[in-house]
Amino acid sequence: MTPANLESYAQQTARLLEINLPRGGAALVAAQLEILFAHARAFAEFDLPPACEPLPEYQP
Amino acid sequence: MSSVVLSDVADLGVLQTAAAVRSGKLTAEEVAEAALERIERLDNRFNCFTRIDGEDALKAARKTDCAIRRGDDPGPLAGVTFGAKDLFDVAGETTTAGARVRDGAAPAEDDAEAVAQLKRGGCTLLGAQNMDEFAYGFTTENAHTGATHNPHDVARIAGGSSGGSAAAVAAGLCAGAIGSDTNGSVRVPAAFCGVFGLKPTFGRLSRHGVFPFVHSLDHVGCFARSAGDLAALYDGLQGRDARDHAQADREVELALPGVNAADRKLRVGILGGYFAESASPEVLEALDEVAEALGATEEVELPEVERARSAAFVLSAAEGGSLHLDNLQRAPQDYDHAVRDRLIAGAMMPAGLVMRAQRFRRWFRDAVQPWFQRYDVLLAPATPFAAQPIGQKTIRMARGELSVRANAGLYTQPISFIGLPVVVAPLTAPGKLPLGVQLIGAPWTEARLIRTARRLERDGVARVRPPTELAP
Repeated sequence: MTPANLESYAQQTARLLEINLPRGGAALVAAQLEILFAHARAFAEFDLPPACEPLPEYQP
Repeated sequence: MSSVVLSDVADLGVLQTAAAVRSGKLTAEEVAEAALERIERLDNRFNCFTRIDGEDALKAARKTDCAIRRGDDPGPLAGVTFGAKDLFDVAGETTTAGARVRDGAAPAEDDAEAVAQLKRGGCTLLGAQNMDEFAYGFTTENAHTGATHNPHDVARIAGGSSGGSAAAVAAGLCAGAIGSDTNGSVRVPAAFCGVFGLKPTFGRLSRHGVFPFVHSLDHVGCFARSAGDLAALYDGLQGRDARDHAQADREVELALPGVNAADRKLRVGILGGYFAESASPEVLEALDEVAEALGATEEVELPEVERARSAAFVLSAAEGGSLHLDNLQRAPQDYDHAVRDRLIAGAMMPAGLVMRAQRFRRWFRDAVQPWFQRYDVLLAPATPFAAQPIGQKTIRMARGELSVRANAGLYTQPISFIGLPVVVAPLTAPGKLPLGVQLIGAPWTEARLIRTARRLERDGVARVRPPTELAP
């Protein structure tokens, strides 16, 4: 997503979540979203076997 | 800067204090008074404590002394002073979690289980300690309570998020301290402040009464100035508590009784690849020193570590954002903006990605576990660099100019993601900033890791030095 798209996503999602972003807040949140989505891509593109379920109660 | 030799009662560690108080050489009240005097005299330089419970500490110490006079057992940790990161409930006090948005929150009705356990063991609680707001950071530069200053160089950060606790132990303001570690919040400040730190296995210690950050990843941990002291505190914190649903049904496995035992043929591997790529030269030297002392020569490359760190990063933001949604709706202006923006962005992460992070966690756990059939301990740096100056936002690393606040935990985050136990062994040398090496083990092997830290301490590799900033 472009920075403008991320800012738009931040504004729209903030409305859905009923969070009032301060002036300029959408751009700041968009900058954080950019970092988070970059991290998410890193593991989301990994080919997990379908049988690999999340652990409901994590045990190491 | 000049070194001073710590010489008064407040310099005594956990085991020394308990032995002196139990044998009647010192009273718990004398120990508490000495610690409170040192806090009064020095903490304006370090900003470790956000609340000092002086009267309560003295009252508790007198109670310990009364028990001794009556001939009752005052507990194995009689008179030992400790501080608690300001996210542990203390009965009658508001748990701030380092946040303005918690101003006016109702006082806690009971002590957190970890606080209660140490008190039952005879410890004296001195007060609450500074932290990153809601534990979301690695620097303890808190917009509301100020930065905690590193006792080895007050111009530098203590690390975080349990920075007040680590710095207080380093400065001798308390014998031990308890903190929390979600992504590295015990291990990073332990390394930066040059003290021993323990993040146990996920599910080992009760988190009841601890203000949460990320339920899936939160651990209770502790700090001390020696491996033996760390073992004593850890033992004091163990015990089943059904109120923490994530706590495993494990028997207490004491670390102190065997802390000086030798592990014959300890198999030690060195984590390479991801764990070496961004480290500064001095960090790699420290790792080499520990590896040599433990006879480790084989390098291990765990699979997909970077993805694991990314998954931990996203999971933390998403769970943290979800946890704070009500307050982000009600009073976003009360948050440190750096924390607020990260939490809001986390709350906006699509559920599919968050679930994917949890699935990846299972995969990563299963991929790492087999390495512990070959090795007892894996070594990795605790941080990629030493403590940076307070206020410095970014640092030049192999991957570019990166945020200090988010990246000091580069090497800790993938390990806590799968809940492995870790002891940080501190490496300190005159004229140098402290560094730490992670001793990582299979689940439930805390006692072995502490023994390994003790071996490094005995060999003069791991050591805690009096901070240079303690000159009057």
